[in-house]
Amino acid sequence: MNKMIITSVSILVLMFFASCTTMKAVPNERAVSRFIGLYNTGDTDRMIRMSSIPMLIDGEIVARTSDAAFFWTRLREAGFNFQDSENSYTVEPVSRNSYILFGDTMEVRTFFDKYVPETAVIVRLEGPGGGYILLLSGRKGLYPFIFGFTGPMS
Amino acid sequence: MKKIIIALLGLTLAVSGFTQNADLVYVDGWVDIRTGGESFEAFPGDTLKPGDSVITQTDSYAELEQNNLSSIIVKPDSIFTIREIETDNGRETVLSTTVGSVSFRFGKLFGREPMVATPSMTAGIRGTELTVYAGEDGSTLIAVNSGLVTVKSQGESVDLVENEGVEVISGEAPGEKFSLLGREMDFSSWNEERYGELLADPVTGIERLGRQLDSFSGDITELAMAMKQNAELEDTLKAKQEKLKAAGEEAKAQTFYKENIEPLVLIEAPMYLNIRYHTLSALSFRRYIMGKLYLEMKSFYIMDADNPMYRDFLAAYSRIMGKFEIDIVPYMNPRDL
Repeated sequence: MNKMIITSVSILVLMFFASCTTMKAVPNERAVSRFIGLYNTGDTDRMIRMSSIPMLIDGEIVARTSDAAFFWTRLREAGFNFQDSENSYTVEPVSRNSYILFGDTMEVRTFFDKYVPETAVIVRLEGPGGGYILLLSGRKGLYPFIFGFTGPMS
Repeated sequence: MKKIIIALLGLTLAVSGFTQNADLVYVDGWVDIRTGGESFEAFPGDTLKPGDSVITQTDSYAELEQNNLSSIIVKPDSIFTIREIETDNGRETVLSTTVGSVSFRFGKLFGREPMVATPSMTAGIRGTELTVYAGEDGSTLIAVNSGLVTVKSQGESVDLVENEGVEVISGEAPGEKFSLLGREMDFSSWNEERYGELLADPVTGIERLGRQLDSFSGDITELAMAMKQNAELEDTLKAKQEKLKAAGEEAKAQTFYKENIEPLVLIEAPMYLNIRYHTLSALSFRRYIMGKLYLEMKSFYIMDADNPMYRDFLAAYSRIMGKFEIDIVPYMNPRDL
């Protein structure tokens, strides 16, 4: 009986943490891997929910959810996927100069200062035509939020 | 320069403080209010002041009222902003639709009505009920249900009365006006057609949008030059005033200030307000019109990034953004983003 209660409480606690939403949590390797997997499954609705608005796409600040939705939908329609195998990506903490990866402009600099949490990570991965960068932070359920997308890098 | 100073002085001395806030009276679905660089979920009872925007989603809309006399309906997938500008009539409220569709019904408010604007035109209105459609290509369609509307773009104007409409293509003068009678206004189809034309030749399209951005930066540069000259003149005159003070002529120095320096000080705030007006208009245009086109092109060519047309588009886009960084960004501040 006791074992059953402990198991139930543990499940409830796990469910509680899984449903928590925070923008300020460092995504670990597993969370990054889950996010890449999520994108590659083509679950656009969830990608939209995991997009932190405003978000960066290259040097463009996307300020409307409908524009982010449009972008993810179009990428899926184009058949764009990331390479998703072991060691196919690297994760590093965001630094003072990370903004340059997206664009050396006042808007991008301000975006990083204003909207990107210190807990964010830069994920470098491969996709069609070259390398791509994702800017991830926080967590909602199993997945981190996406704050930025850029590539292919020249 | 002198002409600008006199004109601005005239409007400074005119009735000022003609600020029109708007109260949110109804919200259907998720609507954002953007204020001071932050976004919040909108609720009935919220008040919008100059600088604030209402952003609706594809499945939401909002209704605003001004002093229970004027009604503004922000339809789905639209961005509506209250701005202020100094004109020959003093400080005026500008109800700006960057993209999407907004309907206005104006009552008699203080005997004067606000201006209505989109990226491609401004409109003066009198006793009016109208709908403004701001397309994703920067063009505008206006339909007047009652009253009189004067639509201005590129230095030309057209007067519209009840049941008349006009289209203003981005960067062009107003087109021929048309009758609304027996004509169903369908914003979606019109927007689709306009946006389709933009996408048919995206390089020419981005160049055209770049010219629209140039017209904002032209206004900003002209005002900034006038403001700089004003400041230089003020410094020169202050030096003269100091000389009078040093010579012990205190009364003369005071009169000199009243007659020569004070008028220059008074026009600084209106000049700055107008620079901010054009800067924020340019930023909205760049963010929601040009930014959308960029997303469209990037997502379409993401599997074909070496496509010559895409490369040409990116080259034109980079050049325009470089100009934006030089001509407009210096007048922005982090709260604008």
